[in-house]
Amino acid sequence: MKADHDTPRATSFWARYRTVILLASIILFLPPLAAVVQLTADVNFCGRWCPRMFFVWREGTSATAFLTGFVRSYMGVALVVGILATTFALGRHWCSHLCPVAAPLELGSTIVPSSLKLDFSNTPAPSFRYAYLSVFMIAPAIGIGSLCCNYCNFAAVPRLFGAAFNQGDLAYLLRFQGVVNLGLLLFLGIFAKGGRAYCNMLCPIGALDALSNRIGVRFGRRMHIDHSSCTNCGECARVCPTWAIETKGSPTINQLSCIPCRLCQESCPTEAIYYGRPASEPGHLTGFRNEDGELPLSAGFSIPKGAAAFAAVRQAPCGTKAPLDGVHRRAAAGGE
Amino acid sequence: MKRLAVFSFAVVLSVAAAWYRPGDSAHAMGMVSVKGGKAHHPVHLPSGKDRYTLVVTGTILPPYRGDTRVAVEGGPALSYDVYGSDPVIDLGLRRRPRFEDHTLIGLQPRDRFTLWVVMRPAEVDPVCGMGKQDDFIGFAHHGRTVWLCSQSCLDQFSRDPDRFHAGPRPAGRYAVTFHDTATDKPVLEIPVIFGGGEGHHHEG
Repeated sequence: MKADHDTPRATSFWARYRTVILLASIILFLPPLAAVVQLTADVNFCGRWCPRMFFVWREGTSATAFLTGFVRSYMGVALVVGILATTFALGRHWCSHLCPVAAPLELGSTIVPSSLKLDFSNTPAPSFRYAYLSVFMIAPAIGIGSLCCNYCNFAAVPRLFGAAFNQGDLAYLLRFQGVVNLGLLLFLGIFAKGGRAYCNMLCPIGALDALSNRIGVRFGRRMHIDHSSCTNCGECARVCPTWAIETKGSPTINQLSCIPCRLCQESCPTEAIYYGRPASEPGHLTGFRNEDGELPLSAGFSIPKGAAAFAAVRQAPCGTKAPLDGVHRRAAAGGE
Repeated sequence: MKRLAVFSFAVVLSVAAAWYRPGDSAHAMGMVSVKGGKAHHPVHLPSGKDRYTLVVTGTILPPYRGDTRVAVEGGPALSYDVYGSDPVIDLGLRRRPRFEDHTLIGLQPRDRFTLWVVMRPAEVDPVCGMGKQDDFIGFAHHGRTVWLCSQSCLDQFSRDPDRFHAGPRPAGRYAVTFHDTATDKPVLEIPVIFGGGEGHHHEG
């Protein structure tokens, strides 16, 4: 049977090497090396690589000038289109594993003592995020000001790294808006629980990416909860850096906030969280994995819970590695 | 209800952030050409700040090629520095102009550059008006360091600081100028206008 989701946590590449990938992204995209942006004779995410400004319409801008902005930032356009397309199919791996702007915030937060961290998990992040995105788009269009580039994570983070080497980058930070940007990165990043509050509330690319993630949830691969295995212990919600898991009642993952960082999957004591296609419906036994980590019942096909358990027990004495082997193992262990 | 409250709060906060203009920085854009170049718009900055940061981005129009010296011109005198944005570790993957000693080196058609111009009002002794020199005495006043040329001026200033003004502030029209080093002809001039109003804040 074709694997329909990741292998279990012990062999999950994306879980095991996430920190390494984030560090590699920092090295490849940010000063002092910034190798990737140097491919286009650039030094940072401004200009050709700017992913935030080309889709913002400013008051008085002609259609030609607006389209010229797409050409000027052609690498930024390619980056955003690539991010949204891959997210639609595979989830927000740019945000969780590749984003060099988010990586220093999350990794930095891991070295800050928990007692110093701020917990924003009571804030409904999508509400804040789309309010910010609305103003981000509308304020320049009606001429009342601009959040872009004044408050820009893609400008501030590279310059934070470059400031140690380059006085131009230092000049960016030593002004009112540079200090504000730095404060936001510290307040909502490094000193935030999980290090992802900036990403979750103020990143316009993240906001668009979350929409792609939510719209494509029925078609692509995402993090899901196998409700048959879930004991509602709440451990996943405690480790989630984007506070995307709601555990009141039946646990759910909010695909408007989830990034597939796998921290929930790693922490789940019953391995009830998996990455794959949306296979399960409440009350049905889809989403169980066999020894190879495969979903025995593919998307769009589910059987009643009782029938599946009956099938598993029937097959167990034969010692076969039937697709529903996992069901039997859970039953033998005292689970469902 | 909580979501609506957070949404409304975030809208108000974001609008305030978009609207507020601190005036200590601005973005200037221009095109370098053999015909003297063209600034996209003049830059307006308020008078009275202790430090201004101007990010200047430019594009080279054909057929211009060469090296270009960058300066800030206008009076009363400003002290200023210009910083480039060369890669920290230049891998040499693509050719790009360099910036050394206030000069853009090796400009070619369709090149782009980014410079940071940091400007400060000239520092003078508020008692006698002498321009700051290395042996001046610093005196902390209202969170700033006031520089005085001698103990006599320091005594006068410390007795009644409010009698003395901080010194000449930038006012009126200045310009960030670009001159071709071979011909000394101007290839771009971006007006920077100090005084009143708020800074022009086109960012891009």
